[in-house]
Amino acid sequence: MSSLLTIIIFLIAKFLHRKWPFILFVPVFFAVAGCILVLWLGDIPFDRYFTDNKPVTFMLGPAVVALGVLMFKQLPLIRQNLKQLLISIFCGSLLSVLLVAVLARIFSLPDMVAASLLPMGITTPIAIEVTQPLGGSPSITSVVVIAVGLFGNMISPYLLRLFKIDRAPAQGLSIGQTSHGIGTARAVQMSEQAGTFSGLAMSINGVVTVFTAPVVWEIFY
Amino acid sequence: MKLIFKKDSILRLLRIVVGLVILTGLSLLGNRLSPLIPFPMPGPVIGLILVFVLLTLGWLPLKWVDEAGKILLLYLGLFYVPYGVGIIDVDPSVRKIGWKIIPIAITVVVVVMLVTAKLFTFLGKKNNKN
Repeated sequence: MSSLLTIIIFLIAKFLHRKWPFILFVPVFFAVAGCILVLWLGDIPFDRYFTDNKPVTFMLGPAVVALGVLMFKQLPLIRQNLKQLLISIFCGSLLSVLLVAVLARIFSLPDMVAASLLPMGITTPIAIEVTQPLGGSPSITSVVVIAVGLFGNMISPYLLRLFKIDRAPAQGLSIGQTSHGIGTARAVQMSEQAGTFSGLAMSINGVVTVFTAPVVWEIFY
Repeated sequence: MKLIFKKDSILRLLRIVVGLVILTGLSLLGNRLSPLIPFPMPGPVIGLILVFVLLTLGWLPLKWVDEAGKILLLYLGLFYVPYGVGIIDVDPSVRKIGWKIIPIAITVVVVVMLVTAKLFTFLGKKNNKN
């Protein structure tokens, strides 16, 4: 039942956003907010909702695999940009981790929280693996990673316009780099090329951060 | 004429079904392979690499996964929604420091997005000049 709720609210949001491209109608945000509202009104526990939604989350696996099909179709464009792509992802990973470490110091967050925030730019399953050996909490990590993804999904087209980032590969790269899979869902909507580069950035940044995060952690803590 | 149209749409449907089965199979295979790899890599990302390799080697024709892939990616956002709803399941201890985490997260997204995109564009221009 709950999976039907998720699907229906998402489809309504997709319709609304196509008609009125207003920020609050961005489908993922609208559907998340709508489901939260229904759970709250109906006093439905999250665990039950999540278990009922197994059919929806199951499809995430095949959909991520489908990004590989997109990449194959855009292979010439990837080849043409490969070197700058890898350098940018590596620098982006390092910058992201450094920035979190510095800001966590400035805001005087406890070490455990700082470690949990460190991999906030990468996909949840890898982020959890990164944070655990540093003494972080996987539950904080997953909430923050998801929130960052939602934020990126919602706001990235506006940021790209503000910063005058108008080429599809650069757009996709920066979305996947900062807001992993949930952001990639938005990049895929923008263009096939943006989707490809977002998927690439998400996959490569995840693996790169496995190595950059512990090094930066050693320096700062 | 009518008959040909019908045959085409059946073939198209068949390709979508077969494509979904292939992509799902590769995702599950990725999940199985994931624990065997020495660094953390989610199963579906391994599946992504597998489908890319199979297509590049020509062992898997594009037409069998193209349509199914397009449909799945159209709904990529939907599949993340239940995880998104999970933010209400947050630990009370996080709620107390949430006001500190939010500005950090926003800064990181904005700065990293700007810097990676500009760096990528800059490196691209330099490459073209050489």
